[in-house]
Amino acid sequence: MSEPPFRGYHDIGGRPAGPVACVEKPFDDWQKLSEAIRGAMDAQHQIVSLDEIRRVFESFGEPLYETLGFYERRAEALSILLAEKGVVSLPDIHARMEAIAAARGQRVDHTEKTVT
Amino acid sequence: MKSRFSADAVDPNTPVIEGHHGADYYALMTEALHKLLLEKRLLSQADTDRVIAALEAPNTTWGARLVAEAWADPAYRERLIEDGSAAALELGFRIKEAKLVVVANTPALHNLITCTLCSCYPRSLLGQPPWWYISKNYRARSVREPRRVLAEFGLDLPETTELRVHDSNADMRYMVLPMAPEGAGQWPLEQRIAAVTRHMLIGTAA
Repeated sequence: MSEPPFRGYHDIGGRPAGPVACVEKPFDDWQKLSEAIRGAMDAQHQIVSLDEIRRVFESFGEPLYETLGFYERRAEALSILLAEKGVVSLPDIHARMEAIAAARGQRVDHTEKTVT
Repeated sequence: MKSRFSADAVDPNTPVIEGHHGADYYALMTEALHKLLLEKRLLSQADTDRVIAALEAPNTTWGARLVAEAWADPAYRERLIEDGSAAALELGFRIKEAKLVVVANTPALHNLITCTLCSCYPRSLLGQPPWWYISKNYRARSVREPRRVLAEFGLDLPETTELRVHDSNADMRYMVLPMAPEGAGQWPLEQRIAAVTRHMLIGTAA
């Protein structure tokens, strides 16, 4: 039996898909900050290259890839990469998220990726 | 063990899922991460402010400036097609992320830009791509049924016009050089720049 071709879940070119929503959306402040953290950490410390960010979101699993949009995938990959490199731990990031949310009367669900 | 890379994990006939979940969650994560990095003195506020300014500066008019030059100067047009990055630098635009490849439309040929694997785009020249460009639906369908996608954008390409779709990658960013309107070579620079839209530079308009 022949092996199926190598194909990652990010390799979506040619797969069936729905209509293209020809709409514009603003570049949100949090998206700018997330991209800027990556850019600045790379410029200052050469520690988060674009290739590494891609490697992370191309391997963090299909379920997350399906549910997240572009900037959300990059933000998730950034946190994983910085944790991998020992810069900051995921439990520390999560704890800080919970503290900020609690001060606003909100709750964070790290499994569902929601703030309510 | 089933590899996450194996084709049995990714059926190419399965429709892609256009998820846009988690914006609030990742906005909060970004805020938390920023605070932690500031506290650890790995970044200063000025570091991220500087990068944000660099992200916000590029826009469609920068790419349009290259097109405007090419419309008025045949020698520049040749250099732009030969080496996009070098020709951009001639006008003061440094393409930072990869090699810029400029593909020219002709009466017989139309070009369309996409990035099926990621969402690569000449950001250091044109700024952030439009939302639909980074959508999975555009990424998936732009290479399978590009004429139908173009029709959804209002561009009905004649069957006799050849259509080339350029799939960006880690080393190359593309921009379309649209055809000059009649007499555009004689127009003032500002008028030429104003005639160029982002859709033209991606190829979703002619």
